[in-house]
Amino acid sequence: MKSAVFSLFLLLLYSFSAEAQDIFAYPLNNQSRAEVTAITSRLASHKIIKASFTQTKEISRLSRTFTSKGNMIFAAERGLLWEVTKPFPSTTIITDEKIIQKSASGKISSLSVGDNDTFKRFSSTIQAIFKGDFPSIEKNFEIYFFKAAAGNWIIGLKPRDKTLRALIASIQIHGKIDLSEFILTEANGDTVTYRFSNITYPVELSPADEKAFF
Amino acid sequence: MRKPSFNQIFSWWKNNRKYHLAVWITFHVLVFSCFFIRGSFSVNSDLASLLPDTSPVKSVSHVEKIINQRFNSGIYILIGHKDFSTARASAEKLVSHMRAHGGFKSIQLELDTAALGRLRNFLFLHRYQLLTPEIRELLTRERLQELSEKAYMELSSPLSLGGLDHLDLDPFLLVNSSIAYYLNSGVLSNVSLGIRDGVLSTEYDGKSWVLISARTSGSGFAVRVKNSPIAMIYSTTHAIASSQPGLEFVFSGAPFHSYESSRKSQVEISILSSISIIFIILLILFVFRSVKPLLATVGAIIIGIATGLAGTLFIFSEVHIFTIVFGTSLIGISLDYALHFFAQWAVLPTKKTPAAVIHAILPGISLGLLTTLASYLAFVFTAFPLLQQMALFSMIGLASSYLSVIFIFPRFKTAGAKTAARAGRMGSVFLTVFEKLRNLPLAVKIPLAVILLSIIVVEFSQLRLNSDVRALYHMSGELERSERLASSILQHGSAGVYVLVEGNNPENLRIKEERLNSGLSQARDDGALDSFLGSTIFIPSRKRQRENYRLIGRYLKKAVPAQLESLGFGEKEIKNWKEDYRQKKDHWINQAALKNIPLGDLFNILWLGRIQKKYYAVVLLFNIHDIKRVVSIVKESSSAYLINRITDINSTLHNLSVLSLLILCASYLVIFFGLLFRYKIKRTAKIIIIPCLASCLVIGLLHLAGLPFTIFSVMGLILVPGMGTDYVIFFSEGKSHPRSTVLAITMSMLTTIFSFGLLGFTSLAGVFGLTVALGVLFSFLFTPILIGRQPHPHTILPGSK
Repeated sequence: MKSAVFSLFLLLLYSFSAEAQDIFAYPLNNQSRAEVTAITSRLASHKIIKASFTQTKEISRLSRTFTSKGNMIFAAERGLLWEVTKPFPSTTIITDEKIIQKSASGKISSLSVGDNDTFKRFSSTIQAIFKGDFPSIEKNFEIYFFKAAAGNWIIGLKPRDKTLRALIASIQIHGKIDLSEFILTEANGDTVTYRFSNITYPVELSPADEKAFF
Repeated sequence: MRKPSFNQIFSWWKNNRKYHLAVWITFHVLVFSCFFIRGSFSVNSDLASLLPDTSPVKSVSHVEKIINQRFNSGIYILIGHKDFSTARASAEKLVSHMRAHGGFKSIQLELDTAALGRLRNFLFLHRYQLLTPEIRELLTRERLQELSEKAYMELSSPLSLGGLDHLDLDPFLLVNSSIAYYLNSGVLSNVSLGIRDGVLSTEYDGKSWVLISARTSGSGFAVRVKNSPIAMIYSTTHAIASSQPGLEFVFSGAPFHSYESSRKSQVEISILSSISIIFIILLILFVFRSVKPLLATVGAIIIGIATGLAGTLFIFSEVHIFTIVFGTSLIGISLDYALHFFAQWAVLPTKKTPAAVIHAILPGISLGLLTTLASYLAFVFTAFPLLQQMALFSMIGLASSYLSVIFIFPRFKTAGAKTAARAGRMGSVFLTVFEKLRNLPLAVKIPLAVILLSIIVVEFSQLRLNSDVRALYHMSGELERSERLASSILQHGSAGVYVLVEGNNPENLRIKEERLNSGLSQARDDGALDSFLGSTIFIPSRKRQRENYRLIGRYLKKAVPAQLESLGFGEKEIKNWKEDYRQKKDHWINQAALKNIPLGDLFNILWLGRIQKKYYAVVLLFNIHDIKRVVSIVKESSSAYLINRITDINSTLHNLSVLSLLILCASYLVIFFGLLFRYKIKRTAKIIIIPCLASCLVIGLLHLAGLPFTIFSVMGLILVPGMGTDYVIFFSEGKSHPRSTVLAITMSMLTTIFSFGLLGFTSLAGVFGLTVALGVLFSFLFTPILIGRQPHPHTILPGSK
């Protein structure tokens, strides 16, 4: 019995890792391109996305996992607000012009990136993913797509840019109707997983949200 | 008062005829021997070498030249296309041609992406010695909670990539703070460019631009025209662009300007020389109808130019390409003496001997030579390398021509009747015009004087000295467009402004730089400048490294256990951290540590090392908003010098222009007192007032025409008295033979204004050429109007006692 349970466990483990790796065995073809376009078009129809997130950073060298939780707002016109509530509160805002960080004690640091090409591209890439800007994503990444029978889909992205490849090996975007998970695999094998929940698509930002963007 | 005469000189000349050839040969052999002993011939086309030293401190000026050589040998090529991969592929193609050429010290297109990892490793290894100013402040003020929060924020930030590998040994993420600090200082981001697919690139005006940076080899940025790396770049980019529609190349850097100037100068030299020579040949043939004067004159010019060049090369070891351009004008001046000789030779009755010709012209051409040399001599004191060379070139060339005329030309047989008749007729025509000018009625003279004086008064009231070096050099339209575009794309901030720090040894230098940097940090926080970059950002002083290590031990060490525990680590990691800290006690950063990381090249630009007996480093300043504040910070240090190349050059040029104007006044005084030995005071005053008035009128008219009054205008003005007084001197000395004298000075005037007038069409010396040409023309025209009649000075006819 014990061995049967163990075998089942191994099978589950295998199937999970197979699914995770297999996505890069499915490069975009004409049929999947239409599906990805449909998904990204649906994403693009939302100008604002609000969600709760759980961020899990796995550091392979230390065999450790760091988890943090919080809320995010993506507003096409404003940028990305990343508010960590646990375990150490902080807020990061990424716009086209700057990156602002606010610590738990309220100390604000701002990095102006308006003229810096690296940050401009970094910011536009992040925004392109949330906006579902398919041409921009395809310009910067090799795209892979896999759709399971249950309607769950995975979009796999591999940076075309070798500079970016030195930092990020791949990105996986999981979803069904909404986005559910991002898995970012760094060049050194570490992963960062973002799980989204309570996703809403408000038409406009509330005054409190507006204020949160400074 | 008995006036001195040229009789003694003439007597010496007459009594020592057997030595004439020997004197002439000795002079030329001496000059050419000196040149051959020196044994080198080089043409300098380096634009910056034209400029005067800007720093009053000699050692600083020397170091500044080294820095300029390093900076100015750099070129930037931006390749733009709407498709990034096309721009990148074209850049690769160009780079392969550049590597094959071999004319470059370094070429960079692809960046080693693994180098970023090595940089992180360098920062990790030296994290206890390399603390950012912010971390130092948090530690010294014991704000450890803030430091801890900063690390937590970094840990949970969506932006922290690849930076957590060593969290157990760097729980406060000091490495990430250093990277952020480098980013803010412009070390990693190169201001506007980012790394894309392994190359530096940016988006601008709907195109992706890829950057190639390179340094030309050889002597800094002096660029040869033949087999020039710049010529190769132009031809290769032209070929690539023609096969790829929509591709654009943008060029920036001093070598492109040097190349353009050299190329243009060489074309200008060929054209000007050809036109000058053709004009002179035609004029001489037309007047004398004999090839003898033509051959003798052209021979004297060629020998004069060759001797001038040899003498200049002996003194300066090289000659600037622009000296040769300016020297073209020598053709016109050196002709004068030959023309005087042949005018007398042709017009005087055939029975007269060559001695009579020399007797007739000796006072005039000798005084003319002395006044011209006096005005050229003034250039030697200008400290403007180009003008010093030009003065020497012309002085030696003129001396050679003078010697040819008085020692070689008398060997020719006198002119035939046909030549005499033709030259005599021409002399009569010119004399008639000359007399008409001299006898202009007051009804014409007075209104003319009022108009000319009004122009002078009105224009002088608005005249401003333009000391901007940029007014002296005009880029070609294409190059200017290229530089503007490059500046917009690369967003150079305050180019050419930096601080030079001096120290007795490397440690002393670094301590001084750190002191300066702390002032600059404050100024940056107050918005006086955007950022600055010095070598101590990579290698702090040993004192600072020790302080940083101790700060960690004194404050951070006690907070480490709690920080590690809050991150989920235990006793083992705490123990490891303590052991690691202990082991890194003497882990000093040195230059070897920078090898193979992306900062090595940047450090080499900033760290000049030992030059002569001291050590030097550069602190670059970006986008200065409050220069006064920066100046006051630099002034606080006795060993730091703010170098603002453009402002310094402009200020030096202004001082030089003022000094040159004083030299001009001195030239007039020297000529005035010199002529008093020969003429009465009233006559001397008239002689002097002619070029003076002519100069004022030229400046007024050029200003009216919208041309700037620059150092080159002033230099042109310095030449005017030397040549302007010649006409009136020749005229005064040649009263006994007016036809030949007027023929000679008219031909001299024509050839001189022709040569200098042609300079007016050159890109660099336009204002200079126009000033001299018009100054000489007006001096010539004012001579008959203003000179009036005068008694003939004391001369003794040949043969009489």
